[in-house]
Amino acid sequence: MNQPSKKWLFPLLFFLILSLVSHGQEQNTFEGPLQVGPYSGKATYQYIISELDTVLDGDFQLQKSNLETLMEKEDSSFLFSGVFDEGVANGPWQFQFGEFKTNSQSQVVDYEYRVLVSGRQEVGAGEMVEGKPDGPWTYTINQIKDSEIEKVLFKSTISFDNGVPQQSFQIENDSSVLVGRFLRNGLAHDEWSFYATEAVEDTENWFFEDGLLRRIELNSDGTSRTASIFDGDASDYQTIPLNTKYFALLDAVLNNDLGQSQIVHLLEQNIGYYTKMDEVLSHLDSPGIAANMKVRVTHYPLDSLQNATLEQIASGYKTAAKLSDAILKNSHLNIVKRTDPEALFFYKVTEKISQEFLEPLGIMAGYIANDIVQYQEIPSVLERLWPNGKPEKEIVVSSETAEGQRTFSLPSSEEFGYEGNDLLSIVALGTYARMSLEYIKGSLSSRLTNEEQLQMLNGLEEELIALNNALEQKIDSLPSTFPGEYKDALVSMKKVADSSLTTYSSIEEPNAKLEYGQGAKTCLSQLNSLASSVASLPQQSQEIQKKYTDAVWNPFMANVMEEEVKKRIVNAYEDVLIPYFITNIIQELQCDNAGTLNDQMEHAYQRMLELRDEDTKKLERKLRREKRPKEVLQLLHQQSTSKNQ
Amino acid sequence: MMSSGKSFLVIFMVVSGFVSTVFAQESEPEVLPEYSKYKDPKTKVWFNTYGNIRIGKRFFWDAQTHFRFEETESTPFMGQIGQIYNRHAIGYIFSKKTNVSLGGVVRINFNTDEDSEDRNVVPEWRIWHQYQFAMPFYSAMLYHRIRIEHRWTQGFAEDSEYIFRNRWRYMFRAKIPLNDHKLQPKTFYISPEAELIMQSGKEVVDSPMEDLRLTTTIGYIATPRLTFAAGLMYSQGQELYNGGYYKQSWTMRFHVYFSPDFRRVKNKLPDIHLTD
Repeated sequence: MNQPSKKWLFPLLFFLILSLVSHGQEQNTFEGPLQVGPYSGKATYQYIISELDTVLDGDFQLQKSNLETLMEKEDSSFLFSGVFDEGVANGPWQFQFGEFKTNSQSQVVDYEYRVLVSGRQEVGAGEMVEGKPDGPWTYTINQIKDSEIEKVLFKSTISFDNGVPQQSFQIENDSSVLVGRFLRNGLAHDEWSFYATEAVEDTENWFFEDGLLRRIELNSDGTSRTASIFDGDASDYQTIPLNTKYFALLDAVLNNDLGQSQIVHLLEQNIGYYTKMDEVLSHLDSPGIAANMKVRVTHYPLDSLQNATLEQIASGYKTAAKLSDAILKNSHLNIVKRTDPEALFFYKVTEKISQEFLEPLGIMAGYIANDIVQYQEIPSVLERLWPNGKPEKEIVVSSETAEGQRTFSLPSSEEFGYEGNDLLSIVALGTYARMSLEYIKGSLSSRLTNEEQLQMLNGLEEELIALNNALEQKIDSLPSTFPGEYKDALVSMKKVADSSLTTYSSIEEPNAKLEYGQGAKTCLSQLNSLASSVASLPQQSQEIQKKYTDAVWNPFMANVMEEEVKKRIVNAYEDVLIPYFITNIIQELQCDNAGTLNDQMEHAYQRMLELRDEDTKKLERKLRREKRPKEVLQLLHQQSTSKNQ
Repeated sequence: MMSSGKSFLVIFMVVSGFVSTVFAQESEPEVLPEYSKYKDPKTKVWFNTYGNIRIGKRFFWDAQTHFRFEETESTPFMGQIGQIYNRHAIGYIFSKKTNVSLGGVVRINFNTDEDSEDRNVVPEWRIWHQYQFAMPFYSAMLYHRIRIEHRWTQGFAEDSEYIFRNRWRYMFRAKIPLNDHKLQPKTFYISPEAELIMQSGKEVVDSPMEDLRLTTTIGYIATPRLTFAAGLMYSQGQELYNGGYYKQSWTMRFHVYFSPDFRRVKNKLPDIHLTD
């Protein structure tokens, strides 16, 4: 009797105690706004207080949907619901993400207002056991039209056992399907097949052996290709997650041979969606839902020295790439190289260094960044990066010299050796590239660093050309009646301008060039003024004739006649000064005296206009005797100064 | 020069005294001939200066001095001095095309009658006024000149009295530029002219037509203020005391026209805007 009664008592006591314990941690309910990572919405959840901490326990729901935004434009909604057990996700979970629009038409059904929506809804759902996915999980993306599923854009179905993917899985989108399976430990195994639902002949098959991808078969557009991947006889293997790093490794090992893999594309999408769900749980302090697929890869462990070498390669590449960029993208060098053979040579060498040294090094730097060097054999990496062997230290480029080519090598190139098959040889190669670029940059520095100065020269040259063109145009646009001597004077100006430009272009040194160019600019603009003065001589002469003509009534003829007045002044100007100016221009014009000559001409003309209305009896008397041009000029000037006093 | 000048004067006086004595007895016919009688033409040379001196916006001083020579029996054209002629007036510029003048003339008349024993030199006085109108005609100019003179003359006889006559003169003249489209400096022109001089007065009985002058001159406008001209004039007219007899003459004329303006520059301008 006693025994059976004891047996019954034990479970009773157990349940009593358990219920006492749970009663001691009283469950509370929270309703209100909550922010979880990037998601902010209205939450309803149950929790307990444990050691002053809020621990989620029981039902959890966080959602956001906004009718107003939906009606106005578009609403991004989400709904996360599930169950926690003392802070750990445990039970059915669902993650919904929606993007909806509405046509703004509503209907009343029973006692509800209904609005039809269109858009896209993502739903991830499955069971969580002690913070790990367990059982089948699906992630579905539906295209919704008028509140009904129009099309399934994506659907992945994976079975988990205690967080580890098991058995077969399926990932599909609207046009293709990937099926595959895992071992019990989550390692990819056997054949993973991808096929297009509408073009069955397009297939991609990955063949795993205990997580190790041995072979890829690709059938596309009627052609079939196979690539072997990881060696089955390697001494060491490592199990790594099937993630973007693994894809980078595949890319490296396959040497980008297969182009864009459809399997990779679907797996990447799936990883992205799982990450999205994982993010929510992680922000709720629960273990996440990583897809947790695993693969095995060959492993060639690197020691700390080798890791340091890799860092060296990466940083060396970064420096060299910056240098090469600075040279190749220098806008002024790109102009100068058209005319400057030396600049062109260095530019071409830089291009070649960039192609033959830096591009492979850049790929290597990518491996290092993704930390996938350790899964590849160094010699085969080198083989892939430089399939035709490492570039020579002597860099040969085509040139316009007699030999048709020119060779660059760093003066200290003999100190460099990068023939080996190890990481150090890559360092040496990188260093050679970097130092070569540094040397080139140094050699080009006068063309690169004086960019500002050169741009000034550029602007100056444009001005010089414009001035020269203006001068040419002045000569070309002279009327056919233009006096020959004056024309000769203009031609003489053109000669001075030409010789000034010739001198300018023959100067090499930028500073001197700039300085001379400024002078030439002044000269050309003075020549332009002088040309204008000479070109307007016939017209000025007419104006003077007109100004120095009086209308006189002749009593005998009873008509009005034109009378030339102050003829001596007019004659001094027309017969002495103008010929003097013209002769001077034809015989003695230079940049130095162009300005003075023009000033003299303009001043003389100006004085002629003024003298008409001045009392010039004295001047006319003096001019009767004076025929020397310089003295005549002075007399005109004197008259003006005495007038001014 | 002095001695040759004196001897010339002596010869001139002797010859002229002889000629005038002979001529005086044959002239002064008192009966009109049955038919008009034309005397042999005389030959003459005139040197004329015409000054037109501007003295104000609308006023000018008209100053003319003429030296008139005529033939002697031995020397054609320039044998002797006939008259020295001083004509002055103040002119008023009514418009560019119209001007009027009023002034006096004093003329020195030399006795050209080689036979006369009367006075050699007598003065003659006139008051004159003139109205001149110009008309542009294509490139030429046409001029109408009306000149009226009130004239006091006397004979060479010792006790001769002044007689008073009026002269009515109308001249029509054209000036046609030859090497230009208008009359302006550096232009040659040809100028035909005709002037009819009528006279009236107590002493004028049967000789109203004192002179008809037909002239053609060629001129050159050197500057607006200086013109030269030379020409040939034929003239005929009735003798004062017997209208039946007609004098004739061929005259070479040499002219200088000058029109200085001594006004200050600021007063001078603008010359042409007379009606401002």
